[in-house]
Amino acid sequence: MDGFFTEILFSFQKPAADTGLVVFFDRNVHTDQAECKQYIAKCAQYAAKYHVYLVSGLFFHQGNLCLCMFGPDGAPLCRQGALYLPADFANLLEPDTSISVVNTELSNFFLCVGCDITHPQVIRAAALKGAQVIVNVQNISFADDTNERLMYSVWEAAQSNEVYVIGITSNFYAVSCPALLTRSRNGYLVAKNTYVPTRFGLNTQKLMETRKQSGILAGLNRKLMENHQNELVNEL
Amino acid sequence: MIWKIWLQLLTFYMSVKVTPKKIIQYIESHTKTHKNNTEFVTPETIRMSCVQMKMQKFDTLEAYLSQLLELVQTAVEAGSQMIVFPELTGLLAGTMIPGWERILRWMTNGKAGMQDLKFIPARLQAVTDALQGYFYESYLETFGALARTHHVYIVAGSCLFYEQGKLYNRSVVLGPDGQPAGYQDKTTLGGIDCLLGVTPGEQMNVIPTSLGKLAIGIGSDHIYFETMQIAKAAGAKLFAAPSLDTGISAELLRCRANQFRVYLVSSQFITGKYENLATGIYCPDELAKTNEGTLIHAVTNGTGVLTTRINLSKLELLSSYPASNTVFMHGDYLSGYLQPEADFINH
Repeated sequence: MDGFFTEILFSFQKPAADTGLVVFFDRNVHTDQAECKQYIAKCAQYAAKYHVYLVSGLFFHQGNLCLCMFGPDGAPLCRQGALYLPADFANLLEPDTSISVVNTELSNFFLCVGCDITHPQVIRAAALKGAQVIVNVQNISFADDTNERLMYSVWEAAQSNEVYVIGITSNFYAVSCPALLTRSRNGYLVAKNTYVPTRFGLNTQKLMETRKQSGILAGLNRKLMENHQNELVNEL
Repeated sequence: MIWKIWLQLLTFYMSVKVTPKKIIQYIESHTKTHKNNTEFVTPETIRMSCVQMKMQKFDTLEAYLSQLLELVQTAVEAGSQMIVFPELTGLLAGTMIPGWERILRWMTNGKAGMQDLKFIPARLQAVTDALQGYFYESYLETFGALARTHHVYIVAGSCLFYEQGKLYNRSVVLGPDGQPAGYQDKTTLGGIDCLLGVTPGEQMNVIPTSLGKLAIGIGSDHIYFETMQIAKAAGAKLFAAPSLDTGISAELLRCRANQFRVYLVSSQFITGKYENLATGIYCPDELAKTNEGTLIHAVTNGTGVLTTRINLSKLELLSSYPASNTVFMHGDYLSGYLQPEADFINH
């Protein structure tokens, strides 16, 4: 599919008829086991009811901090756990150890959980697995949710990996993409905002054309990576 | 045939016009400062300089050396201990070659504009064969003499080196003794590199200096966070980023300085077409007064040098939440680089 509409909505808000992907602007982290079960079931029902792909809010599941993506039939397509846990949850949960890229008719998605967006290795791994759209949901304080943090995480991920990045926190959201895809060449499809609902278009074909033009992923020096494997896995 | 003869004559002419002796004599006789900023070094007060250069032509050796001298002397007077020059500074010596613009048009069959630049391989090879020695000598002798007479480290931008049939975009670091302290080949290919047939380097080198270990990412190298990751894991404390103005944006350099909690010294060559000013020294936000991760930054696109103090000890004090995921790093992450090349883009 070339292009599709995405909406950022409050939880379980009705989407527009032609929306392909919904991402919840959910300020909560669902931690109670029973509540999580109900929440996930409700997300599945929502996706089936409105025939949309849906990315949930953050929730605890089997010892991980997770995001989940549902298909238009309500079936869960992907459950991704955080690879790096925020300090608040470090003693409560375990990190996930692998990443999954979901291939759908809309695009190839990666669910980036919490502060994983601040680890460039995570997004790089997802991009090399074929991800075209990254959906990141973080629960961070208002004080920490600065423009600089947005730039060093969401914006940087989009420029370095030639992907769309939908970045949602407890306070704001923004959508970044390769600068060539934006009129002002600033790399923000949707500037930092709090206004919900919001609606924007993502075009995978244009993204792939941009990749051919800029060639960042294609220009990765494999020989360099092979020669420096020990340094690459060194967590500084 | 005519061009072959012409290039041979040019080679001879330039070997007489520009000699190591002339370079050294001029620099030694015109060096005004006698400071020795690298005599005493502490990690708390390291002074770094970044040079911004606008494209210009030099008719004579004196004009060329005079410009570089002025920049180095300005930096040293400001207390600089290491000066970073922009990418491909070494090629400026080419403007002293008579008819260099005509040679460029010959190599590109008349299409020398940046938009449609394309080199004819055989002609590029002929010019490389004829002039590689000239560029090599003028680059190393000039910056070596500048570093020695001013007792300073110089990251001499970069120049094209021709070795064993391959062309490299190489940055050489000259120490206060005038000798090469190390070098780094560009590991990623930008537009002009592809046009010239440059071979990417396969190693990140960490260069020992009395100021601390230094790593260099040329031009588009810093678009890839991996170059900084590798260098930092290998012990680099200082990072230099010589580039062309088409190479990398100031915003991305700020990202790298913050992601890896380092000082990043960026030096840019302004080709005149773009307004992307990235010359400056970047750092983690907490260390910049205005909290925007920029210690100093060029605001106009002219030729000049910026100098400021950095404090390496402060980097140790920055808070960071320790995070580790060995299984992921050795698994999904590393395997991504080692998959067949076609899979990088074939999704």
